[in-house]
Amino acid sequence: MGYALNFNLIWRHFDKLWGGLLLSLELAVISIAIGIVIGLVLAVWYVSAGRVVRTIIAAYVEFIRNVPLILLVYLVFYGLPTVVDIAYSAQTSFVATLALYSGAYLVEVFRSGLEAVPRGQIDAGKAIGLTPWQRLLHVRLPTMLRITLPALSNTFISLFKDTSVASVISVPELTYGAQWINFNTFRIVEVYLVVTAMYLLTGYALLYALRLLERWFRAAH
Amino acid sequence: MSTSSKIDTPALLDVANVSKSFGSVEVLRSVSLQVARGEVVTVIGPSGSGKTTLLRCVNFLESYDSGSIRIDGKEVGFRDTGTRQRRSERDLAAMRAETGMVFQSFNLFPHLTAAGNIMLGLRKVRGKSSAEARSIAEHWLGRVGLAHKADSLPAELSGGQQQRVGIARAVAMGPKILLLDEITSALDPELVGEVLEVVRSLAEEGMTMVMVTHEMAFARDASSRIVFMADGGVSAAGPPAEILAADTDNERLRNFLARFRASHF
Repeated sequence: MGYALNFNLIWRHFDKLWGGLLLSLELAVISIAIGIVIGLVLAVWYVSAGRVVRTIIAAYVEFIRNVPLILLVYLVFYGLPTVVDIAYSAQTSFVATLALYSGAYLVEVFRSGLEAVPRGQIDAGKAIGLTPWQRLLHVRLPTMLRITLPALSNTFISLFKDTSVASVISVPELTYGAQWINFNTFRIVEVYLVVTAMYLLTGYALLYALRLLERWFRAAH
Repeated sequence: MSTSSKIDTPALLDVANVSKSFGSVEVLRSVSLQVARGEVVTVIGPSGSGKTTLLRCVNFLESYDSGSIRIDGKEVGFRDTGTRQRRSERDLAAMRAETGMVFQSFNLFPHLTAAGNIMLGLRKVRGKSSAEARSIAEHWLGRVGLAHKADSLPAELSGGQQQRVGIARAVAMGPKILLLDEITSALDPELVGEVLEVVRSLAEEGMTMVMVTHEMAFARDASSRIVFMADGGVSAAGPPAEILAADTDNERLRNFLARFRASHF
């Protein structure tokens, strides 16, 4: 008759999954940290820039958003080193790709957040004599952050899942660990059940933690 | 038409022939207005008459197309070269720090406490230390009756309280002139009194103010002069008793006051 589930082999190699999960989280955290910097700088630049700069930034955002992540990963890892003289590990390459990828999404998040800062607050900042830079730092960014925090959390969760794409260039994150166990044990159902549960639980834990953080941020600021 | 009043001392605020259009709509038509130190001038008029725009031009939240606005002899938005070259943002910020503004919708910074709202300008613009700024903020919060709310966020305050913080934020900077833009219009009727009380006490201390308001009783009691605007121009200006007289010769003003009395009493 049917297939008998046997998880023993999975537990025997669980260190591959556990290590993979930690690496997935690490990749997501480093990528979003860089992505936030890219997103902030470009969003602030965008809202104060002229047509040319706006077009260039919009082109970057549109390009990234309309090309599948897996292709971007291939392009950066295999494509770029053939064109320019540059060498990097698969992991570095993936972090760079995911940072550029999240940066493009965050430009949009931060830009709409900046534009959602009420006019009156900017007027109030002007009226007390703040310079444009001071208004950005002390009025617009704090308000923007409150507005965009939920979207930022969602982007992070989504990035965490996107780290699975790194498996295609053999970065030993969670999905790669699952593939390794599958190839070596042929326990495909068991391993993907376990890995699915791991993504799900981690995703929920992250979401919960981030919502707590948002609530704390709202209360404290 | 000249609206210059008989003031012996040079005007602190001198608005001369200011015009401004939004697209094809002329919102200010050659407006002139002088305000002397210590004067309280109230601007009244139907909505759309340009009152708020005029006020926003005085601290250059809005630019104007022609004419000049001077505070203490210094052109507000444009360089003193006579070329109508806009001041640098840094210069504009410094100019704006000399005028205080209180807004209809309060416009407090939502992420800062009552004290924090007042301290921001003191620290970043006036360069005060945190402790100094805090003590100035506490002083002004005390003056507006909110000493106990120093650490409350705007969202935790009533409209009247928020507006009193708004006033404290403006006056704490030590402005030469205070601009009040319909500051009670967004308030529930029972909260209007507490805000006007603060304005009255500032007026008594000699703060120079230009106030756009629909509170006619307050305008009559607290102002040295009332300016009536209609269709972007100054239609009448003079002491309250003269302007608010029911039998004025100015037909637009008479109609405005009649409509106003009909709707408010």
